[in-house]
Amino acid sequence: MTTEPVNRRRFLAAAGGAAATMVLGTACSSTYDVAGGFITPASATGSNTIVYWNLLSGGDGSHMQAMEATYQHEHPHISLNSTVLTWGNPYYTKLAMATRAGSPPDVAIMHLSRLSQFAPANLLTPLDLNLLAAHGMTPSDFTPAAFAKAHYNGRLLAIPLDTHPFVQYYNTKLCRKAGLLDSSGQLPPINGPQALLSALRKLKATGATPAVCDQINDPATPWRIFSTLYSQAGGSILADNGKRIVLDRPRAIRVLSFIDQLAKEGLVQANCDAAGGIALFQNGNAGLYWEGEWNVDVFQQGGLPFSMQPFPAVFGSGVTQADSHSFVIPAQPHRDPQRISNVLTMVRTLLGQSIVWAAGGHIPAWLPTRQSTAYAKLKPQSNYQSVANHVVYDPPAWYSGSGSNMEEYAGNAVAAVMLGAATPQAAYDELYSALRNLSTQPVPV
Amino acid sequence: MSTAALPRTARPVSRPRPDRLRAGELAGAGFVAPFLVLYALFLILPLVLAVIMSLFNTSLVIPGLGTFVGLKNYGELFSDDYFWQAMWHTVLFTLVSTPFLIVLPLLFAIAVHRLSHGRWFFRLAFFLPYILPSAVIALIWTFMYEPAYGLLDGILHFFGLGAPGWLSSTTLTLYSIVIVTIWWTIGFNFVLFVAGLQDSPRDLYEAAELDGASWWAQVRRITIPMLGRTITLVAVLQVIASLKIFDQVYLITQGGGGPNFSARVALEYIYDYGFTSGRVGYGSAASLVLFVVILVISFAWLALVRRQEKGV
Repeated sequence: MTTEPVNRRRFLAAAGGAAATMVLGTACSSTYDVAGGFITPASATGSNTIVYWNLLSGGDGSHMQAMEATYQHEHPHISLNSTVLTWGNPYYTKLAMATRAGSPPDVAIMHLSRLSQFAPANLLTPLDLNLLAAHGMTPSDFTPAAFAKAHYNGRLLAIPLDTHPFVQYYNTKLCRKAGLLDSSGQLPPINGPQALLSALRKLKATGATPAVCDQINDPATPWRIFSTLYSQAGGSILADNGKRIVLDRPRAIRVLSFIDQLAKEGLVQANCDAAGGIALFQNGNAGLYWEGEWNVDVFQQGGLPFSMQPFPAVFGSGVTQADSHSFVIPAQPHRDPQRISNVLTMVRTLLGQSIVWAAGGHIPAWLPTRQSTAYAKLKPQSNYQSVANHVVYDPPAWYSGSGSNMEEYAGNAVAAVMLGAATPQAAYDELYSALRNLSTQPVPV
Repeated sequence: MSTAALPRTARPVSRPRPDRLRAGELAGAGFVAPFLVLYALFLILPLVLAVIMSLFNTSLVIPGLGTFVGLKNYGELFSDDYFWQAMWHTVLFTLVSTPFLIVLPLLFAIAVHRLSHGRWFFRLAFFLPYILPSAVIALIWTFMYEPAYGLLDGILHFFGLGAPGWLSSTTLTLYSIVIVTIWWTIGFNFVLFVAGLQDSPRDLYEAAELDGASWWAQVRRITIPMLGRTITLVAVLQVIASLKIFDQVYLITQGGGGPNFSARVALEYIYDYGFTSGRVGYGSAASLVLFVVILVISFAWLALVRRQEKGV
């Protein structure tokens, strides 16, 4: 090796040079902005580059990377520049700022529940059905509920990738021990509050932790369980794009009292954060685990005896809280048809690999995959695919949607009940005043 | 500088200053200019902009200042319970953390100073956490506080004690973050005290020892008075640093401000409303209020400790 040893002077020279280059580079490109940072803005690159932002930092991230690699392999002349950013509010704040600053990515992943925040501020490019058809995508190719949700004020703004509902994981070994499984080794659907309580009590009698549902630093999860149960009970939360609260007190109290009973009887372990919830179920000492379906990879790799099914229909209907990842084209200062065409080709290529995506847990929105035998054979992922037709998305508002202020404020109120630290009445008051605080703020979009 | 020679002459002040001096001043101004430009660009200008924006409903995602709303942002701010809750958390954090961050490093510094062997080890040990970035601190302590498999609950469980819910209890979370902060930043104040102790003349101690002064009498009559200025410095710096609390709270609570916002501090409130909700005008109003509060508290505190110092 001829590499010269790095001494102090050489290090300082190199570090200084790097710093100077960064400063100069920023000054010259003149497109540095708070939101975009040092990431090359889309407008500064040629039309054979696709800048792609997403927030897939969990188990689904590796599936997306595999799909991107396939696209890259098939389209070697295009340089796909993919960036993973922090999930939730930070991601959407960054995306909004970069778009407003005129240097957005060419394409980005967005939860459909977030359209109500981005669409009113004209931050998204409307999609033309003919253009979509020219790239091999028609409305009938997508799960209808997801495709309908991809519209805002009648305009199509997103291409759905999946539906990801709140589901029930169950440990087959512990559930068998508790006598809950049928002859085929499956957990039969649990319907009604008494059935769920009885199943949890049986699990508790075996000495296991009956159910795990995390909430520390993760208000989205309490929100999901509340939204699921409350929607099953037939309630809705907001109207008029978030300007009016229609939260129904008796229904909300009924749901919160049920959660309170779970906590008081020690039927749900909620004193953990997201990683802790995974660890508790992976340890093999928890019967049920309530979470989005995106952790299926973790438990499969961990060799845990488990399966999955839709979240129990506790109050009447089997409707479940869900959201959808989708592809959006942020509003570009100079719309280049070639770039948009490249992006649509990429989206179509990724959708074509929906089976890879489905393996990570999400229900593909791409019907050719969702209706395929390959997907039907994919277990336990296809156990809960019917849920995609009976989902409730977060109510549209500028402050709602995945990882939003509404999920945070409302989730905080519910979390206290999950810990047995607040009465249902107190939690309802908290929930209502949080929603009132959000709904009465001046609309910034 | 060259001005030192001037008083010897009879009437130096009325005469025009020599060119040599003016050249020196010019050079000085030249050296300071880059700083002044950056200072104006990144401190004065944003401050002026914040004052202007706080009077408008400026949005993050809509170009321009928006419409003029007068003092409406301030009105909403002062009537918002969440804002006062966050302000109180910042003040409470300062009230709880500051005494520990002054007294503990002082005690440790005095103790280490009296050691005859291995001083370097203790100095290193106390200072080491300070060099870690806040993100690392947050990761380490989130693991330790974890209820299911965390170190702290493991220890409590070993002694048959229950888990207190370090990061899930609405009463405890802010204090859990105080503990993290004390462990993390104690080293800085410790080093200041160690430096102060090394400045105090040894002969005072020798004389005291000859006169038969006890260990405690030496600490009380020599060490503490000799450290007076250092204590003032540490006290003032610490209060300002504590009022600026943000990063460890944001990281440990993953941007959520703890269970039911029980640990959301003023800066995080500003971040939540100004950036996440995109209400830049309202966020500017909130940050100006915090700015004034920090300014007032800092000056009051400075005046208080100064007077104390003179009294000693």
